[in-house]
Order: sequence, then structure tokens, then C-alpha cells
Amino acid sequence: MGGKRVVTAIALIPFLYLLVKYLPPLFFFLFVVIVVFIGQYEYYRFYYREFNKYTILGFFLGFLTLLTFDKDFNSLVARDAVLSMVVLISLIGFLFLKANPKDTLPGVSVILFGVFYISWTLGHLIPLRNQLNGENLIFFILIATWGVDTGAYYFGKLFGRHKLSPVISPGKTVEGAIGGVISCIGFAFLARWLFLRELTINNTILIGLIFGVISQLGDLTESMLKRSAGVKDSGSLLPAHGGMLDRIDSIIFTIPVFYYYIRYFVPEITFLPV
Amino acid sequence: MMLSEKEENIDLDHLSDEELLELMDKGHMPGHIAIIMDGNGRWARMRGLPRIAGHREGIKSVREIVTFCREVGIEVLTIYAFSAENWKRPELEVKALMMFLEEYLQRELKTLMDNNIRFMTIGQTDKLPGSVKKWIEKVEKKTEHNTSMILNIALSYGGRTEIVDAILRIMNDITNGAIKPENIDSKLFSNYLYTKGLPDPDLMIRTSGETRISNFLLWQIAYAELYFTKTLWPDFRRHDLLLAILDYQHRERRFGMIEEQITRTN
Repeated sequence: MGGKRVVTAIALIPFLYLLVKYLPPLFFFLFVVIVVFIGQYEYYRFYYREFNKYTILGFFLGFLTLLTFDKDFNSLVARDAVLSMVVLISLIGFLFLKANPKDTLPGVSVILFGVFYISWTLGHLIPLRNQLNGENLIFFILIATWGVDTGAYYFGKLFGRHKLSPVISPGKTVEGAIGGVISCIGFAFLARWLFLRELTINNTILIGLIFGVISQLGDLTESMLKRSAGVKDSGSLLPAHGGMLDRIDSIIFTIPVFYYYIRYFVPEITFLPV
Repeated sequence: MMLSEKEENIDLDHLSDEELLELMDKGHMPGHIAIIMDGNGRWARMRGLPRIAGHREGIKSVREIVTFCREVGIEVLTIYAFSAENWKRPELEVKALMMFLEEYLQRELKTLMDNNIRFMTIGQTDKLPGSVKKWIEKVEKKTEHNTSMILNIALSYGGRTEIVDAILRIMNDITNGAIKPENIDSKLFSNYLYTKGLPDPDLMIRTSGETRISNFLLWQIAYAELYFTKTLWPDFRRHDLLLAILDYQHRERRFGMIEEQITRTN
């Protein structure tokens, strides 16, 4: 398993590097749209088991939400206005799609939560990329978040004794979780050295700690959702990586946290509110 | 392809941007272009929109003109964004303009950095709201080592006030002994203006068909070529700027000399 995972990751890194560093912003926006759509599709399958008209409604709402992160769209229509409409449209959508009345309460909740869980959180990638050193900020998050996964995996393998969460995710251990946090701090320093030298030592340690904890919470909560739906992998998109949602469950948590952390607590990085 | 003096009045408007670019003489570019951006309000009124919509559209022109000037190698671009008299406009419009200005700075800082453009302001910027001032300082500081072009924005600017300010500061320096009255000449005087260190504009453009200077860069435009176009500012894009530059290139700039002297110095 470890080998195949590494190959997939190594194939993705140059692609991401090219995308973030050299292609125009539109490509990055479209890339985020695709990732969000695949994630939403997998998430909606937890409940609906199939691609249907509600999936499309979810895509539409997810796309509207992502649009609010685009500079030019945002300067025309404010984000709060669009999000208000997203809430209304989710309900109106169910009304006009003639949903089975028994399905509307869970259905509309699943669709709307999917929009916020995946599109709203990942949408923060767009304003992050629009920062002065945006490319570097994105690489920093990816590397630091990967550090948690890697650390948890190897620490768990070597020292794992005590189950972390037997019901939700039986493979995980307390030792692995602690290893994930430690490794995340290490990877945060590596990422800082590579991409973000202006970040102070204290902030690097703090971000490493926070990322170490919340990225594992992202992982666990996604497992919890999968348990609730009775599925093991969210999909089979990437070889040996499970589905898209299995891959992005951690950065879904680290991206918005990082965004607001640098916005409010990191004066050494000029934050552009766009 | 070069146009001869005789063909000066040839209509170039129908040519494409690429054709205009080809006509342009890269070795004879205006180093400093100053623009009076006029016509936002009229642009909006013609469409039945509020004036503010015209200002918003005008920002798109600013963005296009700034990057285009950088592309064709203009060294300094000065734009008249807000005059000292503009404070007298309706409160709501002033507020909106200030908001747009702040938004522009936040949104364009990355573009300015990516294009290696230095940002500066002239005028009584201390009169601007605090948050705008904060962003001006931020953007000025971040871009201060950029070298490919200077984007100079006139804010709360008035030409007469600038000259009076300069005189007051010269008097002050005379009193504290920094300079002597006999040292005063036009070169020294220039160094007391907001535009200290910048070259004088070679080309001054005013959009929307008005043919006034409106208190803009009074001292600095002594030898500038003036170009007036009927195009409203929100419609003024790279095509219109190319026409202005081509027009400039077909004029003979003599600085008070006769033609033979110019050819000799070249």
C-alpha cells in the first residue's frame, strides 16, 4: 500500500506545482471546481448511492459558493448575498425537483451541508492563491498537512499500541496520532524553509501543532460520515488513495484554519482581503 | 512602417491593436504619461446607471492601462484619480470612491508585484480616510524596490496647492538656513514639488472631450504634448492609448528650439 501511495503522490506534486506556479488563475479556479465537484459527488453518494438531480443541485450551489471567492465576481456581488441565496435555492430546488416528501428533510440537509463542508472550505484556496506569495502559502499547507498523514502512518506502525477510536477508525492509534502532530511540526519547518521563510519560528510551531490536531480531526470526522453511510472508501479515483474525499478530508480542515490564522495572527505576511 | 509628417492626420482608429503596435516607434516612447481620467459619470448616465457604476467600470480601464503601459515600456504613468476639489462631490460618491480606492490597492498589489511596478502617490494624502492611508503606505512600502515602471496616483491633488506648498517649504528651508535665496532656480523648485525625482510628463491625456487642464500638474506639463480624446474613461482601453501614443510620436517636440537644433542634438 505504502509504495503505490507514494507513486501517486509523486505524480501529483509536479502537476500541482505547474498548476499553482505557472498557469493563469482561471486554471487554478477550474482545478478547485473539479476537486470540489468530485468531493461533493462522493459525499452525496454516501446518502443517495447514485448520481441524481440532487447531485446536480449540489454542484450548482457548490459552484455559486466558489464563485464568491473569485475577485471579479466578488466585486460585483458580495459573498454574503450569494450565500443567502444558496440557502434559499437549496430549499426551492427541492420544491421544484418534486422530491419525495419523506426525503426532503434529510435530503436538503445533506445537499446543503455538502456545499459548506466541501465547497466553502476548499474555496479558501482561491483567495489564498491571490495573496502576494500565494503559491508558497498553498505549498506550505500541502506539505504540512501531508506531514501529519505520513507521521501518523509510520509512528502508528512502529509504536501503535492503544486504539484511538475503535468504532470509527479501528486502524488508528493514539501513538500514531501523537506521531502525526510531531511530524507535522517537523514538516511545517521543512515547508517554512522551502517556501515561507518570513514566517516566525513561533508561528511555525503553532501552525504545526494546530495542523497536527485539526487535520486528524478532519480525517476522523470524514470516517465518521463514512461509517454513518456504511462505506469504506469514499471512491476509487486515485490508485491506493481511496476516493477524493479520503484525500482531501484533512486539508478541508487545514485550509480555512490556515487562511484565518494568517489573516489575523501573522503580521509578517501581508494579507490581502480579496 | 513609418508614417511621414504629411500623413499626420491619417485616421488610424480602424486599425487593430496589433497593427497599431507595429506602427509604434519603440525608440520614441513618451517616458512619462499623465492622464486626466474623465467621463465616468457621463458613461454611467448614458446607460441610466448611477455615477458609482461608472467609477467601477473606470477601474477596469485603470487596470488595463497600467499593465499595458508596463508592457510597452512606459517609465512613469501618473493618473489623476481624485482632485482636491473632488471632496466637494456628494458624500456618498466620495465614500464610494474611497472604498474603490482601497479595494483597488488590495486587489492590485499582487499585480503590481508580479509586474515589478512601483506605486507612488502625489497630493495631500493625509486628508484621506485612515484605512485608505494604511493601504497606500503598505503598497508603497511593498513596491518600493520595483523597477520596471512607476504608477503614480494623484489623490486629493491640486496643482496650485502643490506649488504653494513648495513655496512654503522653500521659505521654511531658507529660514532654517538649509538653502539660500540665490540658490532658487527651476531645478531646485522642482525638488520641492510632490513629484520630486520624477521626470516631467511627455504626454498628457484627457478623456471625455473636455479640453481643460483642471489644476493638474501645472508646473510639470510645461513642455508636455497635450492629447484630448472624446472617448469616455471607462471606454478608454489599450486601443485608445495606442492612438494617443502614435499621435504623440508624430508630433515634433522642440522645447523652444528650432528644427535644426533638434536634429543636431539627436
